[in-house]
Amino acid sequence: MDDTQTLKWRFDVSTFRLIGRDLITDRVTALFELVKNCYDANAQNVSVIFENVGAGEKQSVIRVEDDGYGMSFEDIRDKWMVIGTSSKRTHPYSPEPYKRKCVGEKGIGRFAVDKLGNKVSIITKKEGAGKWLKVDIDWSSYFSESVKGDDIHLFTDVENAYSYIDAEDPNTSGTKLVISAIREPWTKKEIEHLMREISKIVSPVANLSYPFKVRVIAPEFEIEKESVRTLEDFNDATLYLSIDFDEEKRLQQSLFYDKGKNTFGHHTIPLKSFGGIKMRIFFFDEAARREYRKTFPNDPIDGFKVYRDGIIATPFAETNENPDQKRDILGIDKRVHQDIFNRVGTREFLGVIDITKEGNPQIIDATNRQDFVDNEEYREMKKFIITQLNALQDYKVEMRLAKRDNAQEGLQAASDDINSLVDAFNEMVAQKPELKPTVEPLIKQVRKTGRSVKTAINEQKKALEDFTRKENIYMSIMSLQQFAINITHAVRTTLNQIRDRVEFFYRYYPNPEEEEWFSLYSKEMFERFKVLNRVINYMLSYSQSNLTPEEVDLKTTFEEILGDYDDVFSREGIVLQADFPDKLVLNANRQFFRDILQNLIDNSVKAMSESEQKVIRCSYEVRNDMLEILVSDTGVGIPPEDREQVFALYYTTTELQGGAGVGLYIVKTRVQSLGGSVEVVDSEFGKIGTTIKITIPFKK
Amino acid sequence: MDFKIVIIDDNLSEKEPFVQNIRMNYKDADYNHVFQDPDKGLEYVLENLNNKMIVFIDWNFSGHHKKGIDLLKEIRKKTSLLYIVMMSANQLRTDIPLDSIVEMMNEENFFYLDRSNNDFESVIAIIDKIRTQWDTKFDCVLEQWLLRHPEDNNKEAFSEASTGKSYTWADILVELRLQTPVGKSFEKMLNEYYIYQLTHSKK
Repeated sequence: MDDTQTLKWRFDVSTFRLIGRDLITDRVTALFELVKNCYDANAQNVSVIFENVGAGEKQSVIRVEDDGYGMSFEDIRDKWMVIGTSSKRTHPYSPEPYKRKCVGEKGIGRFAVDKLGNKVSIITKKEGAGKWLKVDIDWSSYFSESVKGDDIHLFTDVENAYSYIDAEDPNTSGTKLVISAIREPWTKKEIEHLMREISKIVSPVANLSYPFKVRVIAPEFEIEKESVRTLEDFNDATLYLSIDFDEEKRLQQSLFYDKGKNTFGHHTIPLKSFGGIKMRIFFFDEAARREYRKTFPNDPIDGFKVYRDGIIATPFAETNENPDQKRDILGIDKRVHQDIFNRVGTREFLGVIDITKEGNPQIIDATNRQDFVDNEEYREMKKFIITQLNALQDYKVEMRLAKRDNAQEGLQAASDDINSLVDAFNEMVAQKPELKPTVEPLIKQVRKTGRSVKTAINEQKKALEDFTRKENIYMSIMSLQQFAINITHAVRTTLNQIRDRVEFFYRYYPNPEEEEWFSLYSKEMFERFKVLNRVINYMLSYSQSNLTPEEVDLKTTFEEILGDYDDVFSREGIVLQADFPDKLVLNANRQFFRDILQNLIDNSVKAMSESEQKVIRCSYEVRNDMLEILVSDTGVGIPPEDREQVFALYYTTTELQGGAGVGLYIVKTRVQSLGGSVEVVDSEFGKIGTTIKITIPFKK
Repeated sequence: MDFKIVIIDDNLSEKEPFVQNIRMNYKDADYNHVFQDPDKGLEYVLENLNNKMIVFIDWNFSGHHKKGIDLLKEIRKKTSLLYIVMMSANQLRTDIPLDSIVEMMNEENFFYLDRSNNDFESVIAIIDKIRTQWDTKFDCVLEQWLLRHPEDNNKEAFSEASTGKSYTWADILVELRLQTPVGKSFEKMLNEYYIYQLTHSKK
């Protein structure tokens, strides 16, 4: 006998509160959800209109009106008003020909309305329908019914009135939400915040064929503005750069700055592990930034945004208004230390990075949608993006120098003009002596001006020297910091190795069976102590070095520095090929040569850690009154796209081996202090390895 | 040998005191599995999931794109039962991104060893803790039972009432390793069964 009966779930009337208010945390997000739904409905024009929403106002209304595909009676009855349905789950792209990637939170947008106001009317119509359908929902009636009696009130039992309105033009379509009995007053700040969020929905680059426009209107706050960005908004930028990729040929473009030609170029490299990316960078110099701030006062210049399939992927719905507290995605401003003079920060550019679901499957959205999951591919992508920014940094350095030279030239020209003027006056007086009493005071005045200009030139020179001196001190501090890190690391590693061995003795000594190990470990400890000694000697040599120029015999100096590496070379199995001609003496700073060589050799050792054949070749010779130093290794090499950038501060390809990107920067600054230049040239070893070429003017 | 110790660390060799300490303290441990190359280490671990095993992984590999967390993720795709000890020679806060620390903290069967500040006592503490769990945690006990009794592997363990799908003990082990709903519910069911048995057999 089967007496089974059935029971059904029902929903209490308060369910909608649970769904709507708890899923959507604030009003800006609620309204933002509604705008996203317009996008998903293929709308091209959306208006968000605030009427009397300020504090103390009556009859406040928020309207969200779009020209999307609208809803039929059946859509409303069978989809919109059935909880849990979402066509976006099964159809993640909007209908043809728009094929937009849907952005609305799956099926909760309709409950966002409750967060905004007690009453809502949905007025909607599909193309071809003769009438607009109007559904009126009064959330407060749900609430009052739920508290008044003891009877159970079910969400599904509350009735909502609907009616029809004649349409003037059957061809129109769309949906209008009229939200009234607004819960809380809105402020101008909140509306501006909403506009900022809206501005980020779609990539300005992808928003071309079927543009999505959102107009926010709030007369009481004098707001009436398009919120979605277009490419024209970036016309103020000083510089526009872009890179693309070729999926078929598996090639990616990478930026570099060509100092000689003063232009940007592209390297073409194989697609990286993270897949192809498109990138657009709009760089704003100081003047352009001022201009941009005037045009878009609420819209800070704030670095990169990453879009996937045209839709914002990160940073997603940033609620932090203070730009200082914003998350620095991609770690642009976080680069350990910063070259404070030339670095490119997120406040100087707007960038759009376009990725796709299919082309970049390993770039995975983090659950909080504020970043991507930390994996190999994302790490490589971050590095690649920094590489692109470094090209911009090179450009900045050049611009700064050019500006400085211009100022100097201007002053010099003024001084020359004044001299010519004095000459002209003198000639005049020589020809017509009767003019002398009139011209004399003028000449005096001009001479005085001439002296002021000369003083200015001197002042500027001094300021420049002062700046260079400060820059040098800054560099010394930075290299000292890096030096401290290196030393600490070396000491700690060695101490740990000694500790492990001492511990072994402490635990197991004596034990005849372990004799072999005791003897091995004592020998190793002895060697480790020698390493410690060397580290300490090195520290001492550093602290004793002074910075005054002296006669530097190149052969002795080079041999002395490389001699310090005997242990390292024999441990690593590195062969040194040296070619140091005799009798070359340079009046320079010996420590500079030490810094240059040590950093280059350290890099080479790191770069060869995985090489089968390990050779370092170091040589110098005199060519056309220039000292030319070559340092080569058979290590991993520097990819062509990085050649211009390896000398930038904190640029590193060996961070896994403890490289911090300081070494080559020190090399560059030291070489510059010696009046020379440094570059990466084709490897002396052919296809493998790296060769660094340094040229220093030779003053015998 | 009772259990394997696998070490994946580019700075360690069998000759290091770390490994020799393990030999001295755990006579029943098979300790000769030290890999400097993370890929080879990973390959070995994945091929030997059927062994009782503790895997020590270094956070950083010089000159290699992989980090410790990448190995951890690879292993977790196959099993969440395997005990993993992440090691770092540097301080946690400077060496490892915060997101990764959080991710690792949320892993099951996971330990962290600070190689620069901890001596071998901490290693012993971790290994002993894992050994206790091997003997007491249900999934570990079942895993060990099936390894010791291969003849039981293909016997039917239970069949799901709703779908009629039946599972052998070997199938159950896979479900347990991946901590699937089936694996978890089976574990719960069996625990309840034993508690019932124990409480009722006393009467």
